[in-house]
Amino acid sequence: MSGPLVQAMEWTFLAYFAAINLAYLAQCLFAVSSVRRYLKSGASDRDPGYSTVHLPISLVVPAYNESRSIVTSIKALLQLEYPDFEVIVVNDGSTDDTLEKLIAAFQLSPYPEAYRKQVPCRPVRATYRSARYRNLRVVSKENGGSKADAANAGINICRNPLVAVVDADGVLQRNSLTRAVRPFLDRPETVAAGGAIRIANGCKLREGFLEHVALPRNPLALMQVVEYLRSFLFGRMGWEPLGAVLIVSGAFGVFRRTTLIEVGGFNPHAVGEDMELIVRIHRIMKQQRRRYHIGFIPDPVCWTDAPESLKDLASQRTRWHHGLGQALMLNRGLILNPRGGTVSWLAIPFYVVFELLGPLIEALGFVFFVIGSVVGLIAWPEAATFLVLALSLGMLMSTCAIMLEEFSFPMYRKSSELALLYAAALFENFGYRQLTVWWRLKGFFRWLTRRRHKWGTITRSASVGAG
Amino acid sequence: MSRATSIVGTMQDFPFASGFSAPVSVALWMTIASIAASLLLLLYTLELRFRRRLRERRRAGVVAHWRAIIADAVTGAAGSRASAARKLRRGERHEFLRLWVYTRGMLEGAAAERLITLARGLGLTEFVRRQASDAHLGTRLMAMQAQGYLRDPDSFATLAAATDDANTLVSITAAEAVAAIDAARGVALLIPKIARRRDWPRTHVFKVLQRAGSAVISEPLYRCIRAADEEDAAYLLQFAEIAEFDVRDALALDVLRSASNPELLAAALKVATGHAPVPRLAELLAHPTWYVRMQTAKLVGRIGRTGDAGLLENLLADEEWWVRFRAAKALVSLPGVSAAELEQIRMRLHDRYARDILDQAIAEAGIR
Repeated sequence: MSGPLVQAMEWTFLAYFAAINLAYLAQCLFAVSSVRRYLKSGASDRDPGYSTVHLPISLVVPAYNESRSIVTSIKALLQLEYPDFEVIVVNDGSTDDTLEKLIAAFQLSPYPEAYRKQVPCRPVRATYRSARYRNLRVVSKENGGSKADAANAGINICRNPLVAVVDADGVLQRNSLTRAVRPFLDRPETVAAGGAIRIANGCKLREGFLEHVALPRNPLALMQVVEYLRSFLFGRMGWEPLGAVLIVSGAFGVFRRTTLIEVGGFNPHAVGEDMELIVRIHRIMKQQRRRYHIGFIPDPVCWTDAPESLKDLASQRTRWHHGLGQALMLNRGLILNPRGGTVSWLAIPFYVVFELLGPLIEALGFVFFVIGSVVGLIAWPEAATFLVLALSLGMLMSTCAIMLEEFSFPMYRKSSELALLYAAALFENFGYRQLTVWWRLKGFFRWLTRRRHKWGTITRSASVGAG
Repeated sequence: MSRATSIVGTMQDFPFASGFSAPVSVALWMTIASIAASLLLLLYTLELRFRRRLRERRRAGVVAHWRAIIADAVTGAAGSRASAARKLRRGERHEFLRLWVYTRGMLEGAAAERLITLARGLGLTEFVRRQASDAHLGTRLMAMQAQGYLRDPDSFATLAAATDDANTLVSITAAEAVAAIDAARGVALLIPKIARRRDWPRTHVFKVLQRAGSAVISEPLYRCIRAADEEDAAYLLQFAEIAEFDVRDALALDVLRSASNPELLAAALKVATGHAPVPRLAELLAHPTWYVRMQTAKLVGRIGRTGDAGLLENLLADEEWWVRFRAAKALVSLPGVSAAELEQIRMRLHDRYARDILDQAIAEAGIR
């Protein structure tokens, strides 16, 4: 029988588990209602009503050492189904032949672009325009050490009222832009919008576009598919109706240019520049008591390559968690701010307690139950009960995400793929989840010790970037 | 243990939980509940998948049937199925409407007329009138679009009211539809709203006005701009680009004679055709606001008098790159200015930036 101290600890961990999972379930319910509303609004692809109105967009593509895939990616972007857009590639002082490949492939020639430097960035060396594509320009700048700096150069130079920042290795759906502008059309006070990002590993690409959707064979990538479903379908969609979306993925996000300039653009020193920007927009808008909206759509708008090696994944997760801590700290004025509404009183506390501190508490719980049962403080069936609880709750969240996928925009049509998703949802609890806790913990301590990050690179899977 | 004690106590009554501490019992129950919930969700997901497949199969059948009929109507095939089209069933109407709107959006002329006849024959007019007040935005938008495509005069009043809707999509779709039903009435209704509806994408407003035609829009646009304040006039002037030439010049020259607001001046310079003499040209070329100078340089290019080369030459050393660029472009495009004359101008330039920009313009025009 456990002692009172052990019982108190057990109650603490149990309460934390219950709270975090109830919060996730609540998000899931909110997400179901927003997805239902979204689908009922007729914003699905097949309704022509939405496709008649277009807002001009500038696609900013920061690129650093993307020699392998840049030409295919840009060719694909130029073929997007949207009547009014320009593509601005920002070569952030690549040390490979990214720029040379662009010059050759698109017949670029130097062009003395007149622009106002409205957000900070490292000096621009040259601007180029294409003789073949009127809507393509390339900016070559000194390396700023971050994607944020490159994106800022693009923001300075672009001409349209909406700016979409896109990863050079991201694969967009042909109608991504039509989908992404919907929040701006539906609600004119929208200042930023994001969409669901899906994992491209395992999918078949042709000329930079998705030809066939399939699940990856690599188990690490497969587990990330379930993770992304959780993260995007209810992690973000759940916050949307509360007006508290805190992240628009760096892989694809659309912003009102005036807002980007007003808030000072991306922070080149931020590790998670995407989240930091959105939290900063919230902070500044709340401070100025402005009416604004940050939208999120459940449509899969961008497909990205997930890391397939432990090393790459570890680096990515550590960076993300570091970025989370930094974004929250840099905008700490939002925490429990009387003017902050749901962002200050719900979303930020949630992110601090369950996301930032989550791995710390989860790791402590794991250590407590394992060591407690080894040294005899806790009977092993009791420890096992808690571990099974963690597993079953994790499984429940993944099941919710898979249900939401089926409910909204099911991409994995085969029954075998559905079975594989459930298998991944189950098996991620045996090792993968513990590893992510460990990496996030490292990120947490890296944030505490204020270590800097530079452009993140991962080894690409064969599916993306080729052909 | 009595039933009335506590939840924890009740949980501990459960056979396999007995002997566990209270938190462990709660954990056990939570585990059971979450596994049960997962299983229920799994079943619900399977049901969703099953129902979706059934729906998709049914939809494919409807689409296959009506697509053939629509295709026949478009091509006007002799003995077409369109004339023998069976009645549109209740469950098929939405899918048919989607197909019809999609096809109609790509067509004009006789094919469009045949499509309209087909739709009217199938009772689509009444159906879309009901759909236009549907709570679902997508359905509403599609119905309003269809009303425009059907040129249904009875829908004009409701669509006109919808042009004031706060939602951009609803109002602009309604605007497009009223202009399609009756261009003159529609444009007279819309033009006074354009300055107020800055949320309407400009490209879309251009599209609506362009479709109505310059003959229809010129007069109401002229009246509206003349009555507007400076800010609204500057905004509206951009749409005068699609008005008739004499209206463009009347509006532009009126502004250029007396206005001082740089936005308004730039907008007027942009729409002036260059066919009529432009007042205050020298003054505008030296205007303190760079975009006024830039638009003036462009206008001088449009006027196309060889004698104006000197005016443009002065702008080549402007402090603003865009002014230099537009002046150089205008200069090289002036009729009668030969490569040799351009070279002479180049030789006279002392400013390095002026020479560079002229070099660029000459190279782009392929004069050398």
